[in-house]
Amino acid sequence: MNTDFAHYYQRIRCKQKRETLLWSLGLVALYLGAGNIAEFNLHTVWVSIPHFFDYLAETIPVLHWPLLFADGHTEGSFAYWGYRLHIQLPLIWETLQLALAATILSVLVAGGLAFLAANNTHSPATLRFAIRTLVAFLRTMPELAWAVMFVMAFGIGAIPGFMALALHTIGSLTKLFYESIETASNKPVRGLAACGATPLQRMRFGLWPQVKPIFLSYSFMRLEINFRQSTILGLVGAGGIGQELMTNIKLDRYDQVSMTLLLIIVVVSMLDYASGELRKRVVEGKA
Amino acid sequence: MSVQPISNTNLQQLKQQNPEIFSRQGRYLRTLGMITVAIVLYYVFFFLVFGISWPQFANGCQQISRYFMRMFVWHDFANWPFGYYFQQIFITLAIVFAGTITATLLALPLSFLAARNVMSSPVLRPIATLVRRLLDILRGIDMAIWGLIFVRAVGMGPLAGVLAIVMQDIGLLGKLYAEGHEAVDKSPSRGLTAVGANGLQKHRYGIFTQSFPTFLALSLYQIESNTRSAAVLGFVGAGGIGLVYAENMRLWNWDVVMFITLILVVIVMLMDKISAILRNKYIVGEEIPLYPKNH
Repeated sequence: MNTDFAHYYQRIRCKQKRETLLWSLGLVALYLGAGNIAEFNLHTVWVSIPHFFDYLAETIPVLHWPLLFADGHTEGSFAYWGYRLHIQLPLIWETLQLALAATILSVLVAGGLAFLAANNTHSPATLRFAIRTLVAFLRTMPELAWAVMFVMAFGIGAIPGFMALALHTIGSLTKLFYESIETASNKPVRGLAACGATPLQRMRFGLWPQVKPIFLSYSFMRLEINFRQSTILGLVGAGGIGQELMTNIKLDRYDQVSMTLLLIIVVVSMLDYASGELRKRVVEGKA
Repeated sequence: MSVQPISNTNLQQLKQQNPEIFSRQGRYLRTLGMITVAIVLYYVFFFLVFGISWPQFANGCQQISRYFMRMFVWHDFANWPFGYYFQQIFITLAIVFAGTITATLLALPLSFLAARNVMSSPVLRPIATLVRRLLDILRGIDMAIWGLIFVRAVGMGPLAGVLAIVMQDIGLLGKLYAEGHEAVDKSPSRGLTAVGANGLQKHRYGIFTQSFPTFLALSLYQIESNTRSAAVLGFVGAGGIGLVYAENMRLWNWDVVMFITLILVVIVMLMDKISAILRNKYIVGEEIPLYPKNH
């Protein structure tokens, strides 16, 4: 018995070791290969990382302790550092509005599309397939590509950014939504069908109450993501803070780079916190 | 047994008997109406502030439909530089793998420093808070912005892309791993303490053994999601397929844009499949046959 068990143990152990070794070797090979193609190796990192830190050091603004609260013309004061705030703050506001408007619109549209695309709502198979293909296309085309396209068509401004963000968000939310509808239990639906409910009533009273908290939770998550995304739309002229950031980086206005990044980080963390609280209240609390 | 349709007087009676049940519908409709009005008002505000004029909008729509028309008519397909396109796609994949794997390796130790149940003594608590803030900062800046910064700091090319992915993913993965470490069961750690394990052993065998599936799932998911978003890196000069996108959009080659998007759709679907298989095999796990007792 003892030797038997030892044999068994050895066999399992060997198998596990073999698999671990195979996977580790495969992963290392993949990593080295990828690093090789992407010009990413210890030498280049070693050479270039100091440049990065130099750059970061450059962006640290000059602040003098005694002059911190002096007026905007004294070098070393907060006011001097933030001399472009009157341009940057409205841009941050615009970015927030972009993210919010795009999220609300796409939640509404994606909610509708998801019910049509789910395979347990009795929508026609061709329609399902068409919607799934469409949203796969919408979410795989990068936001910036959409933004470039809309900027070319509608001109520079916030509206192209709004459209680009909304299209991309519809693409990704619809997928999350229809997957959550498909995992919902079909017992309430069958019960309603037995009572003679129409397909619309079945969806409204059988599926919707089950998926509503999931929908809301995904929507809040998406709002956070969209704010982060909307900060880059400006890179191609589609509105928001990105434009300002890009000009600052390209024109080497170092102190303004740090100011803009600081603004973005502050707003992102505020939004993260607020949406986390809201999600907790809406998803777990009353809904 | 059939359900009797409720007569009108009967219904009135029911309404009088259970006013709170029937008033719920009204309350619900009122809330719904208020939300609808709020949303409509918000959009009116939004379009008043940021909107564009009607002719401009109509003109834009015309333009967009022209672009879409051109997307579906592929001119001169045989002479496209496919080698170049596929090389760029390959570089994008390489950037994603190199970036995400590096980020995983760097985020793992950081996540232990950020986990509150690892850094449990009062001396170590501030370290956890500090690391968390650092991760927040890294996460708060978008990949494309990191790309822009790195292009400026280390020059154009895939290296900037890899570093951008590393930066963003350390922030994201570090936080998620830390949450994974915090969600583990405490008893194995206590047991290990009882048999005299030191701190490092406790974390390795008491915590990481349990959070390993989360770690693997998150890393796989991140590779997938980065494949999708790495295309933006090229737009800022950080290497990969985005460059081809940007070039061909400027050159009005919408057919090429469409072609590349379709290729990317296929690649992303493949990654989905591969990661689903890996997840099933290693996270759900396969049954190891138990040692048969009756031998």
